[in-house]
Amino acid sequence: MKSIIILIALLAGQARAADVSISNNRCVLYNADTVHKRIVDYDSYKDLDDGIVFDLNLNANANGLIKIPAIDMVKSQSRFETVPGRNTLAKVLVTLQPMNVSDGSVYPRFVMQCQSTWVSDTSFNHQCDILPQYPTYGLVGFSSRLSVIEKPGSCANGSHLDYSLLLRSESSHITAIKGAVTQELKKKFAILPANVLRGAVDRLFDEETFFKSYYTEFYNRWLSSLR
Amino acid sequence: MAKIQRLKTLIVLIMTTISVSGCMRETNDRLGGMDENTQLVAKQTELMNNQMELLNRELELLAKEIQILNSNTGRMASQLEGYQDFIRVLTEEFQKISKTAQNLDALSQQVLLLIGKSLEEKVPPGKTPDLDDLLGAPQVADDKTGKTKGE
Repeated sequence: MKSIIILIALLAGQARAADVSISNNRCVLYNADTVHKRIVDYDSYKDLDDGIVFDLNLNANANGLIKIPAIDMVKSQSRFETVPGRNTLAKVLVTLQPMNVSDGSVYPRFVMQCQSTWVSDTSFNHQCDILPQYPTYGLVGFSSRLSVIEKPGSCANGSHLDYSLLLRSESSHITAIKGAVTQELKKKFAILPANVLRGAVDRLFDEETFFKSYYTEFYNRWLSSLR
Repeated sequence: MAKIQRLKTLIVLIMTTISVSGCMRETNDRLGGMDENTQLVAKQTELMNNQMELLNRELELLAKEIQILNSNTGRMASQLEGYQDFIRVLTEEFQKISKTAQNLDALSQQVLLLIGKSLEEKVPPGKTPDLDDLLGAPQVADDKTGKTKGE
């Protein structure tokens, strides 16, 4: 009976997927048109995350601080199905390199459909959703929403942005990514047993924390890129 | 007159005899009752004796048990003494283990730091499919497919 409970718990643990949600409301100093030009510039997304690191303080002092580039967007490719203009529809491929792994087969990647719809001259909605018919890895869910409306009164001649992101990781793929990280560490630290390295990777890499901090910082970088 | 006097005397004698006879019967009856009481007392005494005998046996058994208990208590006391020594040794061992665990934790922190530092080094990205590979070749000229970072 006990073993059945343990087995169920293990299976439940394996099936568990990490959900990450981010939301943000703020004013920016730019008009809706400027914001729109930046949001549909999907190809430049991969340059926004340069220098994003995950601060990991291992023993509460400066010597224990590690700055891991936990996730690096190595590809953001788009194909517009409408000529880029006011209302847009595009397919976008995003590929992420996790933990400096060189094995591309375990990179989280997904194709999403992104659409922007102008509600008025000064307001638009933009949304991206993962397209499950294309091969994905690492993430099984990705859904972003951005509503932009110019609010001269309350946003100092700028616009109000309402942003939300929901993503879900695939636990078996995350396990494979951790395995790849362990393999690469094994080349550097041949003296250490694989289980010690795997334990260290498990301790260092928490996908929920990494994805959340990455996409939060990514959004901040995107906001900073508005001009 | 003398005859009458003799007859009176005889009557008195007869009456006295009858009276004495009654007293004798009554005395006999009482004596019989006393015998029964004496028998009851004897029986009760016998029962008490039996009970005393049983009580004595019980007391003997109890004495033996107390003796066994005493010897057990003595053995337990010596075992407890042994346990106290064992616990002292165990405490010392736990202190050693705790110190080793602390050292191990410090060592694991160092290993983790070393591993973490090694992950800071940027590695060129591996090969992954492009959007064209997934969607097929573009049919319109407005394709904006980019390149991999660093290319």
